[in-house]
Amino acid sequence: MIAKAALTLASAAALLLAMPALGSVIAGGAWWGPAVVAVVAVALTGLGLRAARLTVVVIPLVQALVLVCVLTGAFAAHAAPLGFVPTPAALGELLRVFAEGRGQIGQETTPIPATPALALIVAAALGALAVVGDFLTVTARTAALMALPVAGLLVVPLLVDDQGLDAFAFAAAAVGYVVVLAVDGGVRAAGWGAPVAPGADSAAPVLGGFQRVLTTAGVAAVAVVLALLVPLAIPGLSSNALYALADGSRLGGDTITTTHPLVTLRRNLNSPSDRPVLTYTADTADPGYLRMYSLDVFDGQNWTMSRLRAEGDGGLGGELLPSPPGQTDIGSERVVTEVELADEFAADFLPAPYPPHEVDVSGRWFADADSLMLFTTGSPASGTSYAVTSLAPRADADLLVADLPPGSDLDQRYLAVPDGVDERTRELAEEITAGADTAYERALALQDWFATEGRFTYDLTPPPVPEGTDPLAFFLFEDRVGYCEQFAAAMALLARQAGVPARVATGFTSGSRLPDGTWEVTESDAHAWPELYFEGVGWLRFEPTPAAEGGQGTATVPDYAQSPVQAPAERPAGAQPSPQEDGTRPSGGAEAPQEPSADPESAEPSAAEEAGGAAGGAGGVPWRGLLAGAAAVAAAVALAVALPALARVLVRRGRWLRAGSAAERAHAAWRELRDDCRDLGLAWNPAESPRAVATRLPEELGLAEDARTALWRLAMAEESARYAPRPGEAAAPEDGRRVRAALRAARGRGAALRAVLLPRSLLRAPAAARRAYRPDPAAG
Amino acid sequence: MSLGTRHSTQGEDLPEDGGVIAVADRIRRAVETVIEGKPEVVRIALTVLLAEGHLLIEDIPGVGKTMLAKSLGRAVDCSVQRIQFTPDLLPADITGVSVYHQDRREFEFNPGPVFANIVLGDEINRASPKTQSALLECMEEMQVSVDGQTRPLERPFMVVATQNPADMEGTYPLPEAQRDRFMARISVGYPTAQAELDMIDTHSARSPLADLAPVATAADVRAMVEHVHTVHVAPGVRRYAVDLVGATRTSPALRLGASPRATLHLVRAARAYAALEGRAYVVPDDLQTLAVPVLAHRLLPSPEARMERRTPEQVVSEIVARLPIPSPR
Repeated sequence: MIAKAALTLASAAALLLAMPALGSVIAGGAWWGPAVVAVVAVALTGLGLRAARLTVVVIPLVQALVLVCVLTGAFAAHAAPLGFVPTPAALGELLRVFAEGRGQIGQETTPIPATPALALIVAAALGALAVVGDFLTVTARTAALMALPVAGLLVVPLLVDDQGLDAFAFAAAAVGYVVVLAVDGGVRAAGWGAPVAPGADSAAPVLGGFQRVLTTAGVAAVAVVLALLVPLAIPGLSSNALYALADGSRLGGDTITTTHPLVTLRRNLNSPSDRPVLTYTADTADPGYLRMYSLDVFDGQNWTMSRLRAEGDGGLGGELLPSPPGQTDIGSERVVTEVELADEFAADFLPAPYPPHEVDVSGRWFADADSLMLFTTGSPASGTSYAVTSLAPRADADLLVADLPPGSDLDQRYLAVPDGVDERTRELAEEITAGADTAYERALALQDWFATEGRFTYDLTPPPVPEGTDPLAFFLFEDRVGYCEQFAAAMALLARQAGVPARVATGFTSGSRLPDGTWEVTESDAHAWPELYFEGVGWLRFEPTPAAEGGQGTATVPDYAQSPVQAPAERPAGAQPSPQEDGTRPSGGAEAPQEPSADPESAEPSAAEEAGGAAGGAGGVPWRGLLAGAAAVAAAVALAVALPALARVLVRRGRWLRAGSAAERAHAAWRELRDDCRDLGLAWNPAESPRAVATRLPEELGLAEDARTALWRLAMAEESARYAPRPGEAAAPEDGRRVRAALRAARGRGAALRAVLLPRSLLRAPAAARRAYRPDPAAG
Repeated sequence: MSLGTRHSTQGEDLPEDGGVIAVADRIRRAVETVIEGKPEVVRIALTVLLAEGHLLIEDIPGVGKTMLAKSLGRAVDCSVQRIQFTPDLLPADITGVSVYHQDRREFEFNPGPVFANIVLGDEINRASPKTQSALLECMEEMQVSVDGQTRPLERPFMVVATQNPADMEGTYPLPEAQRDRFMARISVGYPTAQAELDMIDTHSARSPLADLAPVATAADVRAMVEHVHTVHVAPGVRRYAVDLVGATRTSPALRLGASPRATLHLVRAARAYAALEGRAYVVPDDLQTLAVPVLAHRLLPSPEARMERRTPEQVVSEIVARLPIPSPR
């Protein structure tokens, strides 16, 4: 009875301790009171019903009823008789308040102010979790599952709030969970009766309790260490690309995860094979780039993608996509592109010309309404064919010259430059665009600056960025060596600094035209470019990266982006950055994309910490990171491997430590022998007496004489400890060691190694406890 | 019909506690000169003597059942009576009768052969059930009631009954209620080839029984019995005994399990066995050794077990082999 009461209270306490987790998403303290009252009311109901010995089935029902009464009393008292009776009218009022709270959650951003409606939702949720937790912990006696309600609370801030979970809130919730487990463990242990006092002296029970607490704390500590280290050892979770893109999602819909686009880009460009990625036909002579990803967030160092949400039931077939933002359909050119993906190329984002308008593809594909990225939540496609109808924007001179301010439906994030970005970039942007009146002219000025005045060198394997340096600033102001990734990132940043909405797109260039009229795109055509927004025209791509020889081989500058000065002609070679003028560093040359990377590790996703804009990639920094990672993984693996052995040693030590009297030492030695036998895979029959074991084992294994006598001494000590009115000689740990050594020698090296690394005795220890009896007080 | 044998008391010192083993060893060695190659049988017979129980020897004719009983009686210097059970034997032939003395004008009680320290009931299953039960009452109550007078029997009192297997002709097999009163049942079994060869050499000329001189007195035996009472039985061992007996009651291979009396007998026998080993406490091994002799004859196999030709002995052995020994926690 006391046990159940303790469990009930522990389960309620765990929920109460997990409540601070909600503090970060709700502003104000008005929600605390009703929630605490709801949890306490449910717990007290459970206590009362169990004291009255009601059928367990009834308990959750009555608890739910009490919860409804409490909620009515707290939130709809004016509509309820006596202030709490849940009549239909009162329930209707409750539902109305509930709906109001839901609306509030849907509209406002975190932290949400704690209005009464929100407090009702929180209290109802906590009360329901309390009912569930009470059932799991007390009725079903599965206290470990209390993790579900607790985790349910912790997940809320993780899902809703970008800041994640407060460390203090997490610690409090963890402590609550451990309390439930501890109470459950204590209740289970108490079921076996009072523990036998480990010795005659009066201090022993205190010591025993202290040791139990130590053991529990040790187990908890090991669990925490494992929980932190094991994920490091799992490759899929260690790449921070995953963390960067998939740290949760908005409520509803599927989260999209993908490797970081820039990592994919770098891998493609550095690929030594230059395999074909796709072929396509287009009904235009001048097809645009094929975009896969749109990186819209600049976090101060890297360009990343804001979270995507897969809405609807998938299936792009037939339906038109949302119209491209900001693009009036006057003067758009409809281009139909039929793409066939290569078999080796697995894509979870479809390469398509921007802006796609109609997509004919099989499978579950979604389109992001804002960026018009085409992606799947299922497995990546390879070898697929699909057709895209796009509305290639025509840069209407009138619209561009009109220089309309960005419309209100354009997200402000496209102009956002986070704090801490090098101030020189703003000065540089202002300096470059000083003579430009319109956004369009500013964009052209920026592009030209990269092409001519900037004196940049294209190199696929740029030198490493010194540690602690802003990689983009280093690229712009210090070494000016990089490839499309840096060019695109830098231009997008400068555009934002100059007040032009910008983002970075990655994907492929148009590729090369084959004699039969189709286009072929290979890995070396992977590319990144900036897209700038102009109201009325939409997103237009620009090309700051050097093209042709000494640059991205298949990059082209779109017509509208060729500066009026050089209007109709091809960009002359002299406009390209000249490696000779740069003097110190030779350029990568046209073969660069085809050349195998000098340092393959630099292209590994795990080394891509500086993904986006950074010139980092090769050199010492990633190596050091790799080494540290490898060391951490090795340490985690070593710890995981050594853990069973460690536990076994701890069990042994603990036994000898706890054993005070001669009888206890004999028991300890005998249990050690039993566990050693199990570790070594030797049969241990609980129907065998000590002396029977001491007779059988030496014969079975052919033990030497001294081991035989040591074993016999152990058996006799255990026998007299168990059965004699006065125990005889205490068992000596040396005898135990000698017997263990002899057993291991007899079983061979393999079995001995297994016994050390994977001690089987750890698995079966509690079985013997079932048949335990209380020793005679006189014999103890 | 009955054969009285008395031995003069030899001037042995009463054994101290420590002397018990010495005396018991002497008795055992003496009996083993007669019953060769069967140390376990002799040891259990001695165990039953020290545990104040009664012994049932069941075996085919001619393997030395009677010889074992007689040698035991002769090695201990005490009164030994032998009753040859026949179908016409009457209860009074066992307990004794009151005879009227004309000259003294009073009844005088003529004690029957049951008034002895060791009573050898030969072929007990040949007598009628009525006669059998007269003996069995004496065994249980250690006293004889004739003509309303109760006469106690002298200690030690041990009945060693022999019987041929029940499927032999002309027998009244002992009902299970009667078998329950025997502490242990053993069978002597055929001797080994070597033991049989030796037997030809030593037994062909004269009976080795004739050479057997008493090595202990009745008082020695009483002292040993007293000593047996001091042997410690730990709670774990008691629990084990209860578990063992309980397992026979729940075993699906047995129609009738062992009685609570069997538990008492088992623990008493284990005490004596431990004392014979020179131990001051009982260990589970004692119970394991004694489980078959003490328990098997009280059990009835279930029809299924009978079909599979599993004997109660086998069932008890299986229980012993798999029942966990209570271990301290």
